[in-house]
Amino acid sequence: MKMYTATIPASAIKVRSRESYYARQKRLFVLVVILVAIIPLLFISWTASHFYQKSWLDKTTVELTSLANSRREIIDLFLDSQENILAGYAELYDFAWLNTPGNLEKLFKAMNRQGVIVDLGLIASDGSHRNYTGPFAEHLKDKNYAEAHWFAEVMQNGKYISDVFTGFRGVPHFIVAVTDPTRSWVLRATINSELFNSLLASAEVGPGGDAFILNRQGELQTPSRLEITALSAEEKNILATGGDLTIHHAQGYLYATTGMKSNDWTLVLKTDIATSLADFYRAQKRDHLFIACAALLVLAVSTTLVRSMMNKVEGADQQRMVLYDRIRYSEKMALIGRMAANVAHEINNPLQIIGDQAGWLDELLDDEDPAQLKNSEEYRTAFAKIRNQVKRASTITHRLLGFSRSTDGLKTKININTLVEETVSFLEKEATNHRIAIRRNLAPDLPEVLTDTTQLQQVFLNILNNAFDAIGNDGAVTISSSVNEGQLAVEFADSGPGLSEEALRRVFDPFFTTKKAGSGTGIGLSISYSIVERLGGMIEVRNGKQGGCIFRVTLPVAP
Amino acid sequence: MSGLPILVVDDEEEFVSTLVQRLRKRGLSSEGVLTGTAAIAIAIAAGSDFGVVLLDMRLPDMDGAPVLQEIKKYGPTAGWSSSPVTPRPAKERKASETGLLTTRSSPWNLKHCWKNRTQPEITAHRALQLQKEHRTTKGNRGISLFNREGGVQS
Repeated sequence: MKMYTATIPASAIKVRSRESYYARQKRLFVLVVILVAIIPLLFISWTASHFYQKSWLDKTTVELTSLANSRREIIDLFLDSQENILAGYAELYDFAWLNTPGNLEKLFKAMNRQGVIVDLGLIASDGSHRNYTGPFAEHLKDKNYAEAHWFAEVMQNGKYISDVFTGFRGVPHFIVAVTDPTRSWVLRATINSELFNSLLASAEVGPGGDAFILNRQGELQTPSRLEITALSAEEKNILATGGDLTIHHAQGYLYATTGMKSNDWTLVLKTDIATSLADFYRAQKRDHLFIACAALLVLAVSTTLVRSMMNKVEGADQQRMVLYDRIRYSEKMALIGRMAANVAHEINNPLQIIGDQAGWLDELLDDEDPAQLKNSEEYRTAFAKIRNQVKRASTITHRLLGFSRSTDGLKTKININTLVEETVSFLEKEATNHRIAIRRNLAPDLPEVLTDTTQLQQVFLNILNNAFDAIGNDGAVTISSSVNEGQLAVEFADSGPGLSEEALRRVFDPFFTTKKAGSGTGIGLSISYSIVERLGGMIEVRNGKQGGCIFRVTLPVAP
Repeated sequence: MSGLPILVVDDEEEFVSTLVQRLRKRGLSSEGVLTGTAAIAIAIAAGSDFGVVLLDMRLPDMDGAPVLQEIKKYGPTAGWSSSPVTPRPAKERKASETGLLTTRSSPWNLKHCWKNRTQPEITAHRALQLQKEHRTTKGNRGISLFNREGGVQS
């Protein structure tokens, strides 16, 4: 419920303006605190995330590089060993011995303890297949390789390792061929490439990763874990065959490629970055969640603190503004008091003279012969009217003097209930005439107040008269008294229509009245305000919940 | 009361002249002056025959209270005052200590006030003063002071 003291109407606008100001300040402070607290938090989070992602990626790169190197070395070692074994046997045995039935089979068994060699063949310099041991003798015994590319190459270079192919054997394999030192015949072994597959399958490239070997043309020499049969054009462009170990970063994958030393093959290890960084991303999600919680906490704490701080500042400012308004109002009332005294002085003197002159003329009429004076009664009536108007005008000027009346009269200790009863007794007849009930709700055993009884009674009379005017006929005024924390309060609640918002704000302003023109001067409550203030108290007004208007006079309890 | 000389002291000339006329019409011997100095001078010259001084407490040359005190040195005098404003209680008490009988707020009605308030008060006060004068050979002879700052009601 709004309570109005003697606030100045314009202050209502200022209050709204101040509310807007404080709302802006709150938003600004909250924003600043958020920016100051959260932006560094987000920056640290982003930086840490970026750093850890890069570190994680570097670690993955290192691991992939290491894995590629180790696998390449193993495969190179295997190929070299197969080639060296064949070359060793070609130097150790001659064509005739190898062409002797049974010898090649003995040699095959000695070589194939690991079970990786499919078959072994002896080919003469003319390309004819002279001896063979293995499961495909029927197919190969009359075969001539004179036109075969690999035969020409091995005869030229002394050694040859083919790409992986299926051929009529039906399984992926490749051949390793060497010549004797005089390059007059060729010893050829067919190697099962499953060994490579198992080597690549055991490579830890993670889910979504892949490991395979490419030939010079970029064709897959080993099966893909992802069951791809051929590289895409983009991958072919990226994955340059041969050469030293290279790291590529494309399409969400990290590629490690390295050329084999033994032949033209290229080992490719491919890992899915998202999968590889899954742990990192999970950690990053936890971090983001933590940062979000921290940000929310900062937001909540900063908002609460700023609101609390601004509320305190706003409260202090409002108290200051109320005090300022009261001081300003007091100054205004003091100025009005001085003006009223001067105005009363300047007006009462002429009124005195007017009255005197009228009285003098009235007395002179006594000397006149009524028979000779046709309008003597009119004169006397006119003089009486002049005196009445002088009296009327003087009533107003004496009311005005209420503004300047000080409280240097004798203050006495009184029981406020007694003063209420005494004041009510003056108005009981008027209340009866207007059928207005005066109800008392006076607290017993109230402490006394030290006050100017006459002036306080004038305040009560003003309030009750206004209540009667507001009610008109048929209503009630309830007078309550109470004491709380050294302050004694008297409330006058009427059953009238109450006051508008504007009237509530202006009711204590001098010359403000809601009564009809000529029915009220609008200074009674202003004077009451001045009196109560001078007595060290406070007068407030508000509308009651059940309607009507409630005036509350508060006074300090006598020490 | 008739025959009791009355001195009217006020800076409002029209007020003084009218009041003097009205008092004289009532058969009262009265004089009017506009300043405190003139009031004291006329009291000295008249041997303080004025039983009542009607005094404005705010005169152009001096305050009413010292004027009353000075006049009372030359004879028993009662004071009245009339004031355009209601005197403050403290000021009223102080004025009464100087021999001011009463104060009336302007505008007051001479006819009503003289009949109901001023004449009885002055009469009672004068009787008291005469008793004192009778008992003592020396002292104030004056009784009433009638000043515009507390006025009589015309």
